[in-house]
Amino acid sequence: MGYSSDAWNSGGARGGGGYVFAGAALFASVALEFAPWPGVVKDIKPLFPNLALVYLVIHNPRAVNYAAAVLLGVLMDLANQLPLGFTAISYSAMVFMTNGMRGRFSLLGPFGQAVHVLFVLCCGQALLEVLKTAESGGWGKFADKLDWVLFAPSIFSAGLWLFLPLLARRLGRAFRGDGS
Amino acid sequence: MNRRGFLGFAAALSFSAALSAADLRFHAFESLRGGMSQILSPFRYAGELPLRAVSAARGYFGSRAELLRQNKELEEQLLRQTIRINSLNFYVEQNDELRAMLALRDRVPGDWIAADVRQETSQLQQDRIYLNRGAGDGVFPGMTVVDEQGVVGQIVRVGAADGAVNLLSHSRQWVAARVRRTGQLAIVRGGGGAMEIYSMPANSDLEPGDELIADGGVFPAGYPVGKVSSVRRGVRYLTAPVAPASEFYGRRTLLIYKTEPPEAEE
Repeated sequence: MGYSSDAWNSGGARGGGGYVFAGAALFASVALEFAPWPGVVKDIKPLFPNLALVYLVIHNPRAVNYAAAVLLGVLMDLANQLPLGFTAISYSAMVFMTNGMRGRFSLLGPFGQAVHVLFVLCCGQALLEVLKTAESGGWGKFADKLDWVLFAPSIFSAGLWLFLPLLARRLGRAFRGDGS
Repeated sequence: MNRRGFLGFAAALSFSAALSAADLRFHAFESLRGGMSQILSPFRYAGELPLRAVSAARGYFGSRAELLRQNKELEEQLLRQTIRINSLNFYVEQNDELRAMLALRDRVPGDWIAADVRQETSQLQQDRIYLNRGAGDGVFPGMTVVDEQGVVGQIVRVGAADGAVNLLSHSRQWVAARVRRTGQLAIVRGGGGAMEIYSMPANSDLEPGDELIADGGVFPAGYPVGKVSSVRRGVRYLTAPVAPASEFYGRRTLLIYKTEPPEAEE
């Protein structure tokens, strides 16, 4: 599996096609999030919107940044019946962290990138959990919540990151109409 | 990270926090939540598409297999019903025959014995049928056998429970008949698969289509025997083939005309 910089950047925004690609990717990620996953898979499935957000912030920062993060967050709050703004805060923090690491990403290999992404996603998850606990109280049990099951989606998302460039490259070509 | 990035983050964080505060403290979006949830419908629909596709495919192939199974069952059912209907047809035809026989009993006075045809003529025994009535049923040789259309023949031999009937077309069978139109007496004899008028003078008033009826005696008087097919006049006698009134073959039930047994010769 090759991980050239072209492969990692092929889904990026250059021109109007970048916005369409970003919108389609975010739409697809939310749709995947809402898919009727069976049983335990629902609890540990990758965080598709989070992953798409991080990917697009790295590769398409013009199209996807804080505004997109807030909109996506509000959408997820609506879907998950959370107070509006909680997930938006979490996503904004993730975007902030991703922006801070973006310069380093091009220097990293796929596994190094996956570890960084895992860190960002875990921070986002933890922050959301903090907000939820702050809203509901129950700080006493907060430490119990921070087990591997809470972070399993982030771990699987980081695993998925390794395969994301291949998908992004194909989709990016399709959106740009290369046909090659 | 540049200053612009920090500002963006701060703005996003502030906006999100303000949203949360408005929602948590003032419940500002409670009334809007229901309507805003409609925004999610396309996402949910798209998310469920693969499952819908799988479900539809499963439904299609499942229903196809189910249809094939039902089709096979229906074919078997149809076969069973066809066999049953064929069997019923047999009983319907027999019922029709029996009704016709009952009507005949009302039409022609006298006593009758109903009999089933056991066996029809064979190549060795031409113009003969066998009935399931014999001496035990009061049947004796000489009794007349009829169907609802006309005279069939005459009992010639009886066993304990069966009887042999010579059809009118049998070469040894004779019937005393009259021409219905003129009342003239005619002797009709069998000719081995056919019937004809015997020894009628050439100048007799006989025409093709004339109906011949039984003259009485052991035969029920006035009952149809046949119709003259054609008339060919010779020097002294005429030749006239007769088409039987009865169909002879293919019947399941016939009636035996009950007459007094002949007195034993002393």
